[in-house]
Amino acid sequence: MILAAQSILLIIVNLIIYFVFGSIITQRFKGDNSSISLNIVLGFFFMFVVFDIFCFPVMLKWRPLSLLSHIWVGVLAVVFLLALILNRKYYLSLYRSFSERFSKNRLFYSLIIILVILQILIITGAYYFTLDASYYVAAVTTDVTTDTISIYDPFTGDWLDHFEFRYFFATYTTNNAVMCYLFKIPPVTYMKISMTAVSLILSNLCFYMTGRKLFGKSDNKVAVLMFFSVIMNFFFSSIYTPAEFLVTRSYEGKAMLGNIVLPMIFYLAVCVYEDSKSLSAYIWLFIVVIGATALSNSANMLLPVMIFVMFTPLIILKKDIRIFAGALISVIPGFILSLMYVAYVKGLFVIYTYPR
Amino acid sequence: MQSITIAEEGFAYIFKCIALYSGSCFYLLLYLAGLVFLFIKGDRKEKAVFVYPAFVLLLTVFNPLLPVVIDHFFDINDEYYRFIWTAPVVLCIGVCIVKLIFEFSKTDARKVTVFVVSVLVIMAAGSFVYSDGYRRITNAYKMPEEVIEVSRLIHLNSEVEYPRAACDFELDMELRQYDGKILSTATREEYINKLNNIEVDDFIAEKQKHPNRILDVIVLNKKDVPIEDFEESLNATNTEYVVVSKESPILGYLKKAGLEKVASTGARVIYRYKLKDPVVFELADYTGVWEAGL
Repeated sequence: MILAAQSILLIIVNLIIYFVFGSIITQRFKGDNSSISLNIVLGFFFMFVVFDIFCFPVMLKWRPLSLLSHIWVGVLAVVFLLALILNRKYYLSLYRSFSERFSKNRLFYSLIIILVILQILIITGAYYFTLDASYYVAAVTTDVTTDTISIYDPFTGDWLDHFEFRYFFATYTTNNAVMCYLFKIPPVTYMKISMTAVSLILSNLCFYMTGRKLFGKSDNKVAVLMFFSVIMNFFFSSIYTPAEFLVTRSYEGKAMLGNIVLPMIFYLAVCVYEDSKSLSAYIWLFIVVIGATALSNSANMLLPVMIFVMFTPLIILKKDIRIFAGALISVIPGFILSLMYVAYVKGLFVIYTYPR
Repeated sequence: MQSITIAEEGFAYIFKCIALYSGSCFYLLLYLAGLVFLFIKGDRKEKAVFVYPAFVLLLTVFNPLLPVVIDHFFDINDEYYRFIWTAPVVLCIGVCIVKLIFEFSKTDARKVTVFVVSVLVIMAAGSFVYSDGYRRITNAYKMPEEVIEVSRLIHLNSEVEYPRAACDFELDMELRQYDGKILSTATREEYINKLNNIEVDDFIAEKQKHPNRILDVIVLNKKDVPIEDFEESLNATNTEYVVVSKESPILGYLKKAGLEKVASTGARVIYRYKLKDPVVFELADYTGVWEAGL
C-alpha cells in the first residue's frame, strides 16, 4: 500500500518537475501556443538536456550514483527557485487560462481525465512479460544496488570493463535510478508503475495538443480523437507497433520514442505549418531532439528520418528558408551520435570504466 | 525483425517487413484509405501534415530500394521496422473518423451511427492486446510472486551478499529486475542463443563455454552433459544456486551432480552447489581513483 502511494506520488512529482523545466523555456515565448500540456511535454525533454550536462561528467569519472543524485537535488532546487522568481506571473496566467477553459467545458476535461486514468489503471494493473525489461528495469536496479552508473552489467551483475556505448547516451535509465535513490522506491515499482503512468500521460498530452492544433477550439472533436487513439492503442497490436510498446512496455525509452517523441515532432510540424516565422517551434524541436537522445539510441536514427519526412513537404510548400535551417540543425545531433555509434561498433574507440 | 533479413529478401524485404509489422491488424490499410480520404476531402493543413509526408514516406521508408541500400553500409535488419513508426497511423485514422463524424454526418443520429461503426471497424481491423487473457498484477512490483519468493529464499540461505544463480529463462529475465543482489550465470544473449539454437563463432563459443554448458542442462534439459563437466562449469562461473521448475526432467541429474535441494516455491526448486573454491563477489573499489583525482 505504501509502495502504491509512493509510486502515485512520484507520478505527480515527475509531472511537476517537467512542468517547471518546460516553463523555463516557454515563458520566453508566452504567446506561442503555451499551455500546461506543452510545458509538461517540453519540460520532459528539456529536463533530460539539463540532466545530461551533469550526468556525463559524473559517469565518465566513475563517481557513484549517490553523488549524481545529490547534485541533481541541487539542480532541481536552483531550477525551482529560478522558476518561482521568474515565472510567478506566467504560472498565474497559465492557471487562469486553464481554469477558464475548464469551467467552460467541465464535461470535456472530466471525460479526458477519466479516459487517461482508465488507461493507466488497465495498463499498470496488467502483468506482461517482455524481454527488454531485463535490460531497462535491471539497469536501474543494478545502478541503485551498486551505487554506480552503468558500470555493472544489468543482465548478470558483473563488472563491465567498458561502457556499453549502445546505451551510453540513453541516460533515461540513470535518471530513473536517481529518482529511485532519492525517493527510496524499488526500481521495479518506479519503472513499471510510476514511469508507465508518466509515459501514458505524456503520450495522451501529445495527442491532445495535436488535436487542439488540428481542430482548434472544438472540444468534441478533440475528445473523439483521443477516444479513438486510446482504442487503437489497445487494438493495433503486433510485437512491432508503437501502440503495443505503449501498452505493454510503456516505461521503456523505445516506447517513449514511438509514442511521445514522434507525435511531438508531428505536433511541432503542425506548429511550423501554421507559423513558419516563429522561432519557438524550431527551438522546441531542437530541445525535443536533444532530449530524445536520452531515451533510446534508436532516436538517433529515427528522428532525422521523421524530421525529413515531416519537414520536406513544409519546406516545398512554404518556401521558407527558416524551415530548412530549423530542420537541418535538428537532424545534426542524431547524425553525429549515429556516426559515433558506428565508430564504436567498428572498434574505433572504447570508453573504459577504469583509468588506463 | 530477427525472422527476416535484407540480404535474403532483397527488394521483397519491405513487403515482408510490413506484413510482420502489421501482424493480423489492418491499420496500415486504414491509414492508406485515410490518406486517400484526406487527399480528396482534407483541408490544406491536413494535406500538408498527413498526405504530403506520406509521399515522402513512400519514396523513402516504404521504398523497396532503401533497406537494400542501407544494408550495404549498416546492419539494420533488427531495427528497420522502426522507420514505419514515422507514419502517423493512429493519428491519421483518428482525424479521418473525427471528420467523418463532425463534417460529413449532418444529423445527430448519423453522427452516432458513424461513431459506433468506426469503433466496430477499429476493433475488427485490429488485434486486442489482451486477447490471450488479462493477467492482473498481485503486488506493487508487477512481478510474479515466484520471483519475489525465489529471491527471498536464496538470500535466506546464502552467506554472501551477492550470490550467483542459474535459473530457467523466464525467471532469469525477471529476477535481476527485482533483485540486483542476485547475480546471473548467463547473459540474456546467451539464453536467447541457446533457446533458438543460434551458432556463434569459435572465439565467442569458447568464451561462453561454461555458461552455455549450464544452460544446456537447466534450459535445454540435456542429461548427456558429463556431470564432471557440469560441475566444472558451476565452479568456473561461481554458480552456487540453480533454480528450475518442479516439473523439470533434470532434477535427478542435479541430485547426481551433488546439488542439494535447499528450498522450494510453488512451481520451482532451489538447489545449492557447494563450490570447490568460492569467490566472494565484491563491488569494485574506486576510492583510490577518486582520491587520485582521476
